[in-house]
Amino acid sequence: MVCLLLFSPIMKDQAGDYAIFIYVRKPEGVGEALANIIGRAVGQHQLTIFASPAELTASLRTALHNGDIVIVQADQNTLAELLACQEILEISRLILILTEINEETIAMAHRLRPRFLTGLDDEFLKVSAVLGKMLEAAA
Amino acid sequence: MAKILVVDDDRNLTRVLIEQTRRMGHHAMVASTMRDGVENARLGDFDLVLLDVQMPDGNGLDFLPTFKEVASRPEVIIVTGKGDPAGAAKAIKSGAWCYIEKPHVTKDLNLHMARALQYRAEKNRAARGPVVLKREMIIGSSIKINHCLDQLAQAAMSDVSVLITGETGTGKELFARAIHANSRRSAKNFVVVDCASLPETLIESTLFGHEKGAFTGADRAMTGLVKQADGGTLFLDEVGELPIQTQKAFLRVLQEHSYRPVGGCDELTSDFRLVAATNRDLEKQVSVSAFRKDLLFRLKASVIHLPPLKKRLEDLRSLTGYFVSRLCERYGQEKKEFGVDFVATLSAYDWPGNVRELAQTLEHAFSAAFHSPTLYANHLPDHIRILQAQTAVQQSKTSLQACQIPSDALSLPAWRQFRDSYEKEYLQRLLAQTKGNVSAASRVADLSRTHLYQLLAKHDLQG
Repeated sequence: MVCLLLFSPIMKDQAGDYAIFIYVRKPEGVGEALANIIGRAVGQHQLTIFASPAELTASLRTALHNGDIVIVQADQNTLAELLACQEILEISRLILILTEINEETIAMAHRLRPRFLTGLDDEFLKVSAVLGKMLEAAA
Repeated sequence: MAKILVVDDDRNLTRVLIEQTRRMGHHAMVASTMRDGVENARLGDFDLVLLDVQMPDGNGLDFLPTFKEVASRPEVIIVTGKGDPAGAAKAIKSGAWCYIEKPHVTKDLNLHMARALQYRAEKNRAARGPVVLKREMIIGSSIKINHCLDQLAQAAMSDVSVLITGETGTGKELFARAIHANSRRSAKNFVVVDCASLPETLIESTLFGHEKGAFTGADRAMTGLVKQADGGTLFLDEVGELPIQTQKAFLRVLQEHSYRPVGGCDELTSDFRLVAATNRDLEKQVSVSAFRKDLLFRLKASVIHLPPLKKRLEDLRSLTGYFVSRLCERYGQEKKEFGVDFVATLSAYDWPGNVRELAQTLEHAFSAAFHSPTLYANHLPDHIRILQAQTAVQQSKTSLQACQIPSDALSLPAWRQFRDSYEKEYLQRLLAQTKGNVSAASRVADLSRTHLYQLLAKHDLQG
């Protein structure tokens, strides 16, 4: 299960709404729970769900702005995909939720310089709290 | 044997200094005017300059940066007839090795000179280390940024903790990454700890990891960032946000390189190199007990202060070129040119958000000029264009006022004030027209390069 989310607190429009983009490959189980938690954390802001990782990566190329937050639930394959567009991700604040915790995956994850790195197994309380603090700082 | 330049118009003293330096086994040369001093420093390969303050054609403290910037980058010892605390502070801030009063010079000089030359020899030996510095997207070649890169190169060669300071958006994380990339630890992890985004309740478990069942939701054990940085670099971003309780725990890790995961019984070890960054004044935080003095002492073994963008506007063109070409690449566009007015308008703005704000502004301009092959000032956001327009109106008003000498003699400015304001404006235009190229500027103005450098230094301008 891979779940990628992206939203943009810095480039908020005049009305103060944030643009939020989500990709959930199979919106059920863990991915669905994560999407729900993040949906609650970002409150009233608009969400867009993508149908495939390619669509999300393409969207990153055109829609990502300085300071945007990108949240990715990732295994090694997803990390490899993200490393391929690392230069674009440089301008964002990246939160990584790893589906497998081992030395190799962690080393790959740090090459992307995430602002927060965690595992799948804590009901996403950490992700929700960190996201809340990031949004608070950006508001 | 070191090469020493004595810039002083006091013949008796220079004779004594020459004799003294010769006795120490060095070669010394005298310049009795500032003009000759600057010229000789540029042409000769001097290790040390003994610089007088009161010279017939200029103040040594004003010319100190010019001496520090010549190719051989000499150490400078200020020798002054009348010492004063403000002068001493200015000398040290401008990079002087020390500040000696003339009555003490024969007694104190040998020791200061020996130390300065020893420092220089060690610095030169160390500089032979890495051949090419990996800049990690640090753009610019201004004196200020080059100075920071020198510090970066030195820091990368050792394992000492580094504190990077500077306003938001000046590139602190880029410098931290570059220190790691140029260090012996580069093959291992560079681990970012975003202290500003971590809620207080999560900091310890994030840094030190936790055992299974240590708290609600800890379904299995997780390593902390400190362990993940083992052999590599741990980067504490916005370290000024670290809560005081965590500071205590972190200090222990720094002192002993061992820690205990949350809910764990065993002490673990980690060999990481620490780099921290902040836009806060940590000394001030210490004074209000918001930051631990002992932790600050540990963090600032080496300090790199990054200049705000407005203090290195000469890098604006290369930064703009870099960001625009990245945008062209990202959106699959042909290379875009800049209109003459584009960089001029960017230069008139003072960039409170620094390089990050510049990058955002250029994104805005890029999307406004998406189908145009050239970026013009009118593609920039209104607030920047308005400021540029206001500055231009103000400048033309000032010029007009300066040219129209009032009939009322009482309202006339002093001659020196009038001349200086006109001189500065001329130099600014000259630099803008020649894109800061001093050789070209000296040809246009029909001034010798030395004279032009003196004028630029006088008005705090850089070619």
